[in-house]
Amino acid sequence: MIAATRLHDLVASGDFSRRIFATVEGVTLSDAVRVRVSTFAARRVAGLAELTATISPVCRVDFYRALAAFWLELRFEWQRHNLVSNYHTIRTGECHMAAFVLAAASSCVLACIEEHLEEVDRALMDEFAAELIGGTHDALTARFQQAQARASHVA
Amino acid sequence: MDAVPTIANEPPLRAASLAARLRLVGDATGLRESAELVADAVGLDYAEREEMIALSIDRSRSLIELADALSDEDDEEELYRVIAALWLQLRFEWQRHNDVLNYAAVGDTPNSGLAAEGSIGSAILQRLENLLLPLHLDALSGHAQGLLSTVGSGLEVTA
Repeated sequence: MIAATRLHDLVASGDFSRRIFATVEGVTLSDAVRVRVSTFAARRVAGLAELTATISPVCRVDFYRALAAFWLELRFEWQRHNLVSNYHTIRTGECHMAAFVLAAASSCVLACIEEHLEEVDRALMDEFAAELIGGTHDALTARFQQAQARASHVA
Repeated sequence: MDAVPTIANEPPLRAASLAARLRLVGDATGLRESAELVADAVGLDYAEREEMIALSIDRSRSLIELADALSDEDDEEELYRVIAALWLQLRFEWQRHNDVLNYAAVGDTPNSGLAAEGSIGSAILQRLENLLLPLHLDALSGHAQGLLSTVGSGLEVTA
């Protein structure tokens, strides 16, 4: 069931931004990364506000599809930040803080939106996104095993 | 609906490292210049102009980070898939801006900041398209549009 009013209230109350920042609470962030999270949050809040203000009052089907496309955008973004974070960690042994927190923030926004999408639709889109970048999971696992083997060889 | 198109890096794109070519796409100076041109063309005020420049720098940083993280030769196929997904993400974003602008036009609410953001997104999309095979772009966008026309079908029935 779409609840455009609930989404609108979530954005208008500032609760949406608070939820995004709560996701990364407790993580020590540099000023540069904090600015990136702020920019991310501001753009997603604006994006959702624009959809609820312009499309929702006119056509609920178009609004629902725009919301579904927005969810897919974020799904790809989340997946990309996760990959960058994982590959960077395997390559350097250190956490890529920006990618790590942006993945967490993307995940938070995904959760807020998916409450308003039908389960069957979300499953279809999830499958599409997973298949598109599907090969990467196996590749990442292989790379991790290679890195472990190299590390044990050096030790 | 058709099966999800198979995406794989193919020989024509191997002339230069894909990661190196992605770094060129993410060239901060080029993206910043595009943002400045767009901001001037649509007449943004100072704050909006700075926001657009910050957005272009943020985009640039994300592209470079992706290229750096998946820069090994063995990572090329994965990188190609992620670039394809990034292209689709930006295409959806561009479409969202267009939809909002179209609906806003109905209500007579101009939004030059959004128009500028759409133009910058479009410039990055065109650059990314040079890294991907046209047949993959067609297959991906066709599949994605088909998917989105399927979702919400229950609403159409009850609307």
